[in-house]
Amino acid sequence: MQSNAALEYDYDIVKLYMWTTVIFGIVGMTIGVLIASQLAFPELNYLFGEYGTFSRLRPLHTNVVIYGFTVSGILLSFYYSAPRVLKVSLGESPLLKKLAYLQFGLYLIAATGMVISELMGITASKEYAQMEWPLDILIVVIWVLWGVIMFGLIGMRREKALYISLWYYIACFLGVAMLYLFNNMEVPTIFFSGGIGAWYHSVSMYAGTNDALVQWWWGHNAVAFVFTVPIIAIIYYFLPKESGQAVYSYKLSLLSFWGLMFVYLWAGGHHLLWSTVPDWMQTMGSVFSVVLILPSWGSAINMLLTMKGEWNQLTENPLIKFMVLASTFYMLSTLEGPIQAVKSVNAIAHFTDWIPGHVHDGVLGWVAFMIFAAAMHSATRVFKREIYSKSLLEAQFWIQTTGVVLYFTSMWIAGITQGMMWRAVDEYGNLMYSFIDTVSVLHPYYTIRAVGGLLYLVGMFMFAFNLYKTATAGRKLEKEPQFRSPMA
Amino acid sequence: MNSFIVKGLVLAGVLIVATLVVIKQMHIDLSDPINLITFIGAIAIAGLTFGVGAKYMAQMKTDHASGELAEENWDGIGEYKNELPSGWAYSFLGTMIWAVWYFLWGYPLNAFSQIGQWNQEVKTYNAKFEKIHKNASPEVLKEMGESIFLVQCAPCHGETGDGLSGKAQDFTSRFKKEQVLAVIKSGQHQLMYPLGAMPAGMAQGKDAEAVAEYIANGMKGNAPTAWATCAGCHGQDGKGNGGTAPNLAGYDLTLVQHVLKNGKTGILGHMPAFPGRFTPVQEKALASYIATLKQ
Repeated sequence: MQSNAALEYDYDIVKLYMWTTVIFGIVGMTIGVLIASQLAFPELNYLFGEYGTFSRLRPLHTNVVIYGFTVSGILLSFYYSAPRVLKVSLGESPLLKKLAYLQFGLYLIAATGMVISELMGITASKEYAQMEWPLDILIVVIWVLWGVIMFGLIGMRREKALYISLWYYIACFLGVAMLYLFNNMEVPTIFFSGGIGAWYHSVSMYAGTNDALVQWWWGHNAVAFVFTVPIIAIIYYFLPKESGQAVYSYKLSLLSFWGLMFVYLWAGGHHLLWSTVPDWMQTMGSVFSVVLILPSWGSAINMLLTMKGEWNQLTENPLIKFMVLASTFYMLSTLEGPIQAVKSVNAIAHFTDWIPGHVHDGVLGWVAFMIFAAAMHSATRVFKREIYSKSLLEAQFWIQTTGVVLYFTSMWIAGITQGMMWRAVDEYGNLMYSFIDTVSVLHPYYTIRAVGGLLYLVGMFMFAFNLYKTATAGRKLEKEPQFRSPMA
Repeated sequence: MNSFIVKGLVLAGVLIVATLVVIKQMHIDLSDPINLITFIGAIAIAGLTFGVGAKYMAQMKTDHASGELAEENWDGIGEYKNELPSGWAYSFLGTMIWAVWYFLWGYPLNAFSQIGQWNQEVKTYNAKFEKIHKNASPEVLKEMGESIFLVQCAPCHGETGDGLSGKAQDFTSRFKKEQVLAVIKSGQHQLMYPLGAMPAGMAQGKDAEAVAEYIANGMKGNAPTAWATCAGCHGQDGKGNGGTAPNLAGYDLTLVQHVLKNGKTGILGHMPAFPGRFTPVQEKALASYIATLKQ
């Protein structure tokens, strides 16, 4: 076993992303709880004038949790784990470190700009791509900087082979770069309108069905290359590292990786089933979604089998709990998604609450759980301190798990009921229910979902407190732990 | 089966039963193929995830890690050279074979059309529907008519058919006086009855007033003298001369069919035409229900 004793890793950048992860997590999830409550209790729309309406806050919620919380979490994990598996410290190259600072500074400007502009109602009106063109350009610069740093580190590496996590980080970088550019091809109107209208306003370069296709090619692959690929990178490092177990099967890693890469990019058409998109493209989206089950499950199974025989770790270490449950939630959402993409099932599922339910299985149960575990594991090494409170971490796990289960079961039942009510007909073939009938039936489930979200937010605050205390008041460690993160 | 898998499947079962209870409360018909496939899909999601997840959980308790380690090691992380789990590998292969089948034979890329599928399903359904209700009793027709009315007509005409305070035709009476006056003044040519367009200005001044009053009151009492002009086409009783001109006394099947086919613009506004929206049985049902709304 190679020793890391000779190399002192530079964690300055990791610390910065740790705090943005916490701040954006709190902001994004608070907005999430508010808008979930608005769906159950519409009066809550009128708390802050135009700035508090569901329509204004919903894109803000998704953007802050995706581009604020999740992207921060990914970058924190990358800057922590990539140098370690490459055996090279960021501090060894003053240029790369400066670029990393620049990237963080621009990221902070872009993320703040995103929050402010979307709160003002400035939007490009494409889902998960609401940012207007000036911000889009900034994002491209940030992303290119990340690529320069990533390949710079890879070029300086002391390990011969690239660890699996790195494959996935590279895929994340390349995938998002390509998809983001194509979907955000937009025309700033000011240059072509003779100076009429706002300077930041733009229209998409594509129109109609083409725009929808490109939009969902992006929309679905944002899920692929932001919510899946880099999170797999995270679990492939942090679960074996925290548990001290070797990864179950190299072959399974390899096949899952290339399977995922090949299949994922075709599946976006399943967002447009039964629409004006050509039939063959819909069929393709549907078919590739179903094939996608196995490459997705491959990574999850590989991680679960890595923990073979390690029941004690599961019961004793809350970080392992987070990561093992994350794997199973990853399995849940990557089976649920493809089945919802089957044309007949989609005839029910589309436009219902089953879809946000499905998304939140993934983001709450998988993405955020992995980010919490990665941040806490890193914190012990970054701050050279023990995790402040094991019992708080344990409580966070159970509270948030309860939250996810409430969210997922309520939206599961609500969505299926809603979809079946929409198409229910009486004995003469006429619609049985009007829209408002479904709204009143769903009210209790919306309330349960809001409660689930609130529990999750409480857990987020516990995490923030625990991380802050770990950084400032955790017991000092003399030696960097090899595997398991020490906790009080 | 070990206790983990049993527990996992019990959890899945609870979720499925809860879903079933809720949708049954809403009178959902699970024999409908789309509903059925969705429900089977839901069972598959819950059963497979909880079942397979529990299997691997159990392995954490009972199994132990083994295999040949690869030479590489990253930051203390090793990798086994274990073979693929066979269940996973065969399932992957299976979905790939299924995908090829689906593309080329199941829903062939060059031949399947969702619009074609829709047209065919509607045609089959309507043919079956017409056959079942060919000799429907007046009670069934009325009930069917109400069911159609509530979905298709009520949004403008109101659930009781009262026209939502003048937003659309009020079916609780045949005409308001000003409607009759407007038709007399401008004529009427939209409904395409066999007797053709009604010219503008068939009656003037007091005559028009008297006729409008008479028709709006449901043709009770003695007809004014000017009524003779109207009766020429609409019949002495105003019922439309055996379907050759609009019925002014009430709503009948011919009238409902002509309005659905051609739409109608009057002083209340514009109703679009709905040609082909209903089958002949449905039109009959709708007309028989609308006829009952008049007080």
